[in-house]
Amino acid sequence: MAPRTRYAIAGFGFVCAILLLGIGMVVLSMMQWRLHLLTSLWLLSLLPRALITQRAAPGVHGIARLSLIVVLSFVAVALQLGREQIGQASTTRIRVAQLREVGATAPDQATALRPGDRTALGNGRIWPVMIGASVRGTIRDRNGVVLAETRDGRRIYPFPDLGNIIGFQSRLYGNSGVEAARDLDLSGTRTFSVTALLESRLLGTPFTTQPADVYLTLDATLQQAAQAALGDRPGAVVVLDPRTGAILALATYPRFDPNQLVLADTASAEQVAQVQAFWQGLTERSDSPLLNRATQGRYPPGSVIKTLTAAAALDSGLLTGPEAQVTCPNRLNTDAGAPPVVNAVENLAQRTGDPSDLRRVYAWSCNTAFAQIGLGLGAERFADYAGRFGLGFADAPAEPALLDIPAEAGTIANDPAFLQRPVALADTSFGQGQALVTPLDMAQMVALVANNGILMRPYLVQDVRVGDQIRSAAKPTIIRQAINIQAAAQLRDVMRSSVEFGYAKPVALPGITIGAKTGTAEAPGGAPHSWFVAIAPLEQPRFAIAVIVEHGGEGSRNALPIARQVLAAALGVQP
Amino acid sequence: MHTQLTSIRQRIGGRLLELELLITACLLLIAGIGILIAEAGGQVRWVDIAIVAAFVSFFIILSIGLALRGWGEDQIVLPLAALLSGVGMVLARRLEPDLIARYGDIHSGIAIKQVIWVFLGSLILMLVSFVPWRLRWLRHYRYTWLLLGLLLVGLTTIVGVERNGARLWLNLGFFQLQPVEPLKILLVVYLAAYLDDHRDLIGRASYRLGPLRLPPLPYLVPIMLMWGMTIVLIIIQKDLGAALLFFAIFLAMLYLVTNRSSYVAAGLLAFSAGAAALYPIFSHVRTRVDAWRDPWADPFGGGYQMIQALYAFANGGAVGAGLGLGNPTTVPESQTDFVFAAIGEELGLVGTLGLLLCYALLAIQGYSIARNARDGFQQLLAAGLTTAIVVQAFIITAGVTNLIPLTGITLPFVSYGGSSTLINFVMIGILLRISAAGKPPHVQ
Repeated sequence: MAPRTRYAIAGFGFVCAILLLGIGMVVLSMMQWRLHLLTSLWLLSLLPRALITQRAAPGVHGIARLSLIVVLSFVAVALQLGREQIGQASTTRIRVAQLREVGATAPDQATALRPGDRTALGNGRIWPVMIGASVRGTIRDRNGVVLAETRDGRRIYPFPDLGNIIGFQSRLYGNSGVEAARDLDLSGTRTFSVTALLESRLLGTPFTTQPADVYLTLDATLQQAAQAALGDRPGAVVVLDPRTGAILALATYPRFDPNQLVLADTASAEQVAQVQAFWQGLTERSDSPLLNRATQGRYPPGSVIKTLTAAAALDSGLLTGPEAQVTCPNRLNTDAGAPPVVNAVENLAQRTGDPSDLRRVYAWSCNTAFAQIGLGLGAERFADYAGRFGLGFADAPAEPALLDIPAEAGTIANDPAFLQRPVALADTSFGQGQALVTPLDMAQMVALVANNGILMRPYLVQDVRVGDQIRSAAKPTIIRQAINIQAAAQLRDVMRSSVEFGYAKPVALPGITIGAKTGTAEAPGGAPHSWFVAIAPLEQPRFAIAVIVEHGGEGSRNALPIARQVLAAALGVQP
Repeated sequence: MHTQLTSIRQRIGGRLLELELLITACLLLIAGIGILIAEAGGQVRWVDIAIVAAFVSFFIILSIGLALRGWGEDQIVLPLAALLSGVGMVLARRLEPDLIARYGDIHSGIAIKQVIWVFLGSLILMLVSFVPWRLRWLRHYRYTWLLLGLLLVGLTTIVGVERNGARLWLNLGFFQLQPVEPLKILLVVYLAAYLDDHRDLIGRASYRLGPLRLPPLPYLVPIMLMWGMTIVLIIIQKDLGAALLFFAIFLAMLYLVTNRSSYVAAGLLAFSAGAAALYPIFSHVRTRVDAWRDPWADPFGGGYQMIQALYAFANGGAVGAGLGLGNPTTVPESQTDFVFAAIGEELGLVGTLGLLLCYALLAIQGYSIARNARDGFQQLLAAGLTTAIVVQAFIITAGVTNLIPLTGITLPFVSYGGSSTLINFVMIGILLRISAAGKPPHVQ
């Protein structure tokens, strides 16, 4: 073989080897990685071997090749070390941590650890900065009210009702909620300096971190009001600032007290057992207290979804305004053979008038009217508008809009084919069918109506501060212009009518204009879910609210009074 | 008088590189000890002083002695060995309190013992360097060495002491000798002499066995013998590491003489076949291979040690937890076979790569000594000794990092242990002697 060809092949082999190693470093199983390593070392050896053959004196070929083999062997070990110490390090730690949790099968060596030594990441051998519980930042509400702090090595949650949002920092069960999402800030890892770390490693001095304080958008007072209003009925309340997407209150029930999951730095076996028992109780309860219903609970929307249908009709020009003519028959036949669409009460046309208009069919929540609007829009257009409101399909769900804590994205139907059937499209348009939405989704829906059709990204963390200095602050971000300004204005007008003379009338507060919609969603296994959505004050909306009470009956009965109480607290008026 | 002084100055000046490297290594050692003292709240223990003093007195004095004699030995090998054994002493000092706390008093005093071993090792190194013996003797008495080796193995098999399920120790009263260690030198010396005698056979008619072309008989017989010996080692002494090491040394030396990679490939194949055949029969082979294939399959049994080692490496990360700040004793045998994991945890990737670099440099320097050796025997001897050290380092570092199946063997110079430290220094001594270009004819 000509030397040039040989060098070319060797060079190509070199590149291939680097590629192989790069891939192997991160993804593959141990055996596959070893194969990668062997192959790439062979490829790497091509070049030096070619050099030895061409350049070295004949007498020393053997020795030169032997040195090459030995050096390459050490290169192999070095690469393996790189993989184990850098590439796979966190994987190994997590796997070891998982091993400890099994516990039952562990022999003496592994269980001999004191229970207090156990952390979610093993036996506490991890870099001290990762578990430095004693120097963790606080979590505060928008006005600086402390929601979580560390005192004497123990995490304290002054508001025991916020477990589903703030989360917990448990040495047995890891972190959750904001504690997990903002762990890097709270522990100070995000602000650390590499040189300082290196210095401390080399000199063995303790490494000091600058834990940051996390300020939430929550308003503790409003949150308290929402919780008080909800009481101990399973359900959720979401209050948003429609202009920014900031979450002002996020109540959910049943909930849990995170203080019960916290262990101090030194814990007795008794305390550990106590926490374990509490956790077991939480996970075994049938009413899922760990679920944050406000962001993760998925419910059929009922009539509140008519807001979406109306928005689609106004934005697309199907209906020209609040006074556009719509009829409200008692029955509406869709598919041949399918049961007809009916209204919740007979002869609703007596209230809405016949022919009626959008304002009145919305206020009196006429199913047959919205079924007709939905059919008029057609499946594609309806699905498009649902998508603009953040509702996708279950077979390809949208990303949850809220990023700060665990959230679910709502869906309008299981798959696009479902809406192709007229009866299904008609049902979905007025709130039945397969749609499943979270209370946050519904709050977002009315918030965008309040905000001139602009959908904002909801957020919970306002800023992160070290001392007085703001390290990072949330910037309100627009997700999209879902409907045009005019349609949004018209829809606010329609929503106002619902309070002026419709089902939502009891929500009225003195001196405040409110736009709202009630909803009653048929639910399996009991009374229907009670829904209510509203925006206020209507001239310049500052609050968007969504309330659900599980199996609470009609929307006007259970959800509406809650919303009224919360809005009164938010706006500072006497109900 | 004046000329004498000039001559001394010239000789020292000609060997300045070694002295400088040794002083650098010494500074590193002092830094390590300093960190340990600082962590103990400034409390200085006798052993801290002993380690530094030992390093200065053994190696620097030795270096000056070599310089004054002026035979022109290699100047890189000694500082490398010194640095590695310095790291070994510091680690023994660092691990001792943790080991006592975790496993009890049997570990008390390992730091000072390691200092004594290094002292004895350097004493032997001085003897090898300054007692006028002839390299030729090694060649001359080749069968004596072979007999001695076989005797050692035989004795261990019959009256050896069993520890951890392996019969590897010979009780000599004052200390327990690991006969495998001197066996390494005896084997290399014998093989060098034997293979050099049969060097001219290349190209001679070989035997045919059907389609296979067998090597000439003088190669075939030792190949078979070596293979048999390693298998016996595995079966009787249950010492996988030594078996692998001996076989690797033999193949390397065979390759140097014959220049045929096919022999090496055949040898490796035979070894793998042997190991594969033993796999279902012997549980100690099975445990090791299973733990290598997937340590997570049996995390609290066969895979426990490996997982602890991987965990230690993972926790070390790039720069490590810091000397004295990790928790390396959770890995069983952290002071001997798993000392590399302790380094990985406390000094991080930086530390482990540094150590690997030392061994790689030792390899390159050792093979270059072999290349420049004056005759075939010395060449084979130097290459064999170098291979013995660096392949041992490879087997244990690759084993501890789960690259190859783990086989219990010490990390040369660094691991705590007497036999291994002494023998490694003897090998360095012989290497230095071979590299001495200016040695007078009567010691050749």
